[in-house]
Amino acid sequence: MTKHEFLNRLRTALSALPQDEVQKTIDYYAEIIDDAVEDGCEEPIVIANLGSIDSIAEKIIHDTPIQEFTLENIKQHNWNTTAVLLLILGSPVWIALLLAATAVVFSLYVSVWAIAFSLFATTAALALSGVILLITSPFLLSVAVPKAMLLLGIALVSVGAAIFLFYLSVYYAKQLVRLTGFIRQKIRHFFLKQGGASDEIQ
Amino acid sequence: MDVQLKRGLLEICILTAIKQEDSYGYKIIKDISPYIAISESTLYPILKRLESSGCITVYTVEHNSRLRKYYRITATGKEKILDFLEDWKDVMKAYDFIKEDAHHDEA
Repeated sequence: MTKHEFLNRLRTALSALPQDEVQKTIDYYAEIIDDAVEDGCEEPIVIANLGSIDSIAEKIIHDTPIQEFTLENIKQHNWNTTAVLLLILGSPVWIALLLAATAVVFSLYVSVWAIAFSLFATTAALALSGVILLITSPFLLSVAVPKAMLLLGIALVSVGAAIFLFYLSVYYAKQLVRLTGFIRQKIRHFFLKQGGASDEIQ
Repeated sequence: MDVQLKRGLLEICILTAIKQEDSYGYKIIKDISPYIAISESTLYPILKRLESSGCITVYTVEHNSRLRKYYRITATGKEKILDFLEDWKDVMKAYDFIKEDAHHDEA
């Protein structure tokens, strides 16, 4: 393969990249070949040693920031007219459906948090009533002993239930926080995957 | 060698190759290949990255009626070499520990 052929094929292989990026790459390889020949190497051998054009192009494409690459790609893979037309004509339907779906998911999410809230509210109510009964029931002792004992018992049960519910609520809330993190990660992953995986260093 | 590790090493080797005097692609490869394996297709993306991260600057010089790109190290690039040397003190400490242990196993 001659230098000219090599550079032409490389240009074709890189056509998905921005034009100035392609030119820079071509300049780089032209310079390397010229310098090697000047250094006394045979042109065909230099070119053979550069490796396959596909692997060279793959490395460069792999290293190009996604923003630049996808923009160019979108221009290349134009949506056909029917698809765009359908998308626009169908918008009253799919936008409404999308909104409804988002609303459902959102309301589900709100309601699981509402459960957490009600658990804490119940805990607080039980604790409050327990404490109040605990304080007031001894005053009844002088009037009616059995009633006072009954109220004291109820107070102890309330406080006990409150303590149990408290731990349960905290556990539930913690799980919810974990779930939120998980969902957020999933959403991010979904969008990143669409953009293509990048493995930029740093 | 681990790909990420090698890329990191190559970056520093390239910076070192142009530290004393400005250099161009072909010469950089010639200068560092005795120490670490590098191909033309590996050098190019790394030069690009070093340029975009401000470690090197590029200028063009006419040579034998064609253009040649020269690379010059910046202050950021020099700092990167120093950071590397500093970081690798710890790596070498760990290396010595690992090597010592492996040596014991052999004995």
